[in-house]
Amino acid sequence: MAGRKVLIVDDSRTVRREVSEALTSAGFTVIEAADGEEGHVAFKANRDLALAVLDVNMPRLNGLDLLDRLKADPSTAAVPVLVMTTEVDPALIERAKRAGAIGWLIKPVKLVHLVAAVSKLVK
Amino acid sequence: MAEPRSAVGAKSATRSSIDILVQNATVQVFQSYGVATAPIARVPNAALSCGGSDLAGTIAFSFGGTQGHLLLLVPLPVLELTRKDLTDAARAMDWVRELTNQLMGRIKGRLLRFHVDLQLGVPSAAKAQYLIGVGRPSSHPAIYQFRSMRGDVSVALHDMVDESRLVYSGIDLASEGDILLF
Repeated sequence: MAGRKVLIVDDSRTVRREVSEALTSAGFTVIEAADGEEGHVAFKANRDLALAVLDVNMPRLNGLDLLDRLKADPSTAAVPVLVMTTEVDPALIERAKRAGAIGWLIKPVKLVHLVAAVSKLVK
Repeated sequence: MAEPRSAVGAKSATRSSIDILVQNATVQVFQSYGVATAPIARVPNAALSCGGSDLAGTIAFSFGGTQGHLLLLVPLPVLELTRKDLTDAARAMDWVRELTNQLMGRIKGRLLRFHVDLQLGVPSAAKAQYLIGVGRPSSHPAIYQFRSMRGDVSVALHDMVDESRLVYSGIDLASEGDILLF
């Protein structure tokens, strides 16, 4: 479905799978990536992404560094990004906000709330 | 000189701020997945032990010049209570790793209220027997145990921040499950 493709980047396969299943049930097409580097490749390969959900603490490339990379690249900068993490550090939240993220979700997030947030943001 | 028995008993009955914080965080992590756990009174210098089916997650942290790590030990039957879809060993391992990540995240969040900003590593997981001896030989971990319907959960903290470094700030922080839209 055009305009409804969402990328989930998280190093937990369990988290990716449950988010993917919830969003797929809500009519989204979901792509998964297991770390920041894989997420970056997925971003470049899917120019029609409507939104991305990034974890923070991941191997190889963390979510905030991926966010910086995405926002510095004109080809990916416009994709809205939500950060979903266990981190509650105000400094990290502020960093994500300044980098251009549109929201910060603190794990564990109820899937119904996640789907509602994504649905509201992807119109 | 050996301490009188009553003094040892009094020490084990007194919970520090870090004890309370770690115990609350652990209880809440399992509670958020529908599993009730209750802290068992901490015994100083207790040894960590595990069963054959126990899985463990570990995550490193640092603060100032101090480096430590947390170990979460969960018997498979307890882990299976938290999710119904742990159909193979890889899924169970991935899930205990994520629970470790979420537990450390909660502890970090609570310590932020005490001006302690831990830097976290990336968690990993394995069968408990392979992780139980990891750490500096000189390091005496603080061991926390929790009773649940299907077995005991353990948390070991190696080289946690010293209690004397804690200064309560009262800072207002977001909580687990919050969605902040900018």
